[in-house]
Amino acid sequence: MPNTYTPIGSATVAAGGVASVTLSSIPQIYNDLLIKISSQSSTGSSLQYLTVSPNNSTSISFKNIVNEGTATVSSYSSSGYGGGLGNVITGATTGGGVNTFNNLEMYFPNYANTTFQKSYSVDSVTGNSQWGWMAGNLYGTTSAITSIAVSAASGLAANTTIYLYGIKNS
Amino acid sequence: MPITYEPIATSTLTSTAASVTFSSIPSTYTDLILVISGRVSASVGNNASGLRFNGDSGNNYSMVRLTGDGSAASTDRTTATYAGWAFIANSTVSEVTPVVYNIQNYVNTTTNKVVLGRGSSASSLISATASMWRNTAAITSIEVIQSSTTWIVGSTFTLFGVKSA
Repeated sequence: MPNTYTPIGSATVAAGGVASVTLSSIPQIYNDLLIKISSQSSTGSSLQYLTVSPNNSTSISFKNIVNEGTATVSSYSSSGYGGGLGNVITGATTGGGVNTFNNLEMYFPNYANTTFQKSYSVDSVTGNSQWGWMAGNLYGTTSAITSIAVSAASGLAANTTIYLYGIKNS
Repeated sequence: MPITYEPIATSTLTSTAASVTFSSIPSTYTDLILVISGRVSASVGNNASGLRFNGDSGNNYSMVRLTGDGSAASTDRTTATYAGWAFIANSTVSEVTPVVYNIQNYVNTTTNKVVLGRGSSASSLISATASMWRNTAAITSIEVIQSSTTWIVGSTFTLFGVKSA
């Protein structure tokens, strides 16, 4: 039986942080992709947004629907194509200076398919601020996903980890 | 290192179908994960996928649903003739909907079976559902149904088995 849950790439941000991380040259031999991120922004205050961008595309290519909530309030939002950065917001990192990292998982079925536009789910929690995030995202292109860039508005803090897995159905 | 995440069966529709059934599911795993990338043929409405276990189409399932369309969020609790309500986009949008189900401890014969489901459509609705099949039997077959008329051609369904060790 083949191993069908295979690590494709990973990154751990070193001391000093980094603006972004790109996992490129994603093999087209799997059926689905799963990315798991434990992240923190480099800023010392407030929540920052984490941006996960397939093929390093800009916000014009994305839209989403979001349910989110904290310990005291829940809210919802949606963004259409070109609606701004919100189109590629996929989770919130914790502020720097605390020991709690954001925990995010994204699932991309049929990422190498060139017939359908790419829909993917996003689930994220940020324990320090008790922030939950559930989203459906659409990358409005039929292009195969060959790279995934991860960034934060204030940069990714040290010890941020990113793991990308390929999943085969046979 | 043991392989703990294995494909059990997969199906890509070459013609429309009302449902897809995985039968003779091995009992050698701890959990099951079912991944769908699909769309239904209906042109209207909020359609959904659902799961029936071991051919049980009775009102023997319970679920709590959380949904959101960007303008409102809602939640409810209901009984049903299937588990795992998960939103599926209709034919008016250009995307297919990803759905991931987690079915824990599916071979035990002591407890009712629990399913977690996530559906994600950026054009329509997102959903999260916790369901229970009020039956202690081991799950040996899963029928993947939908609330429209058919799944469209090209919809994919893959069942994975996950071992705890």
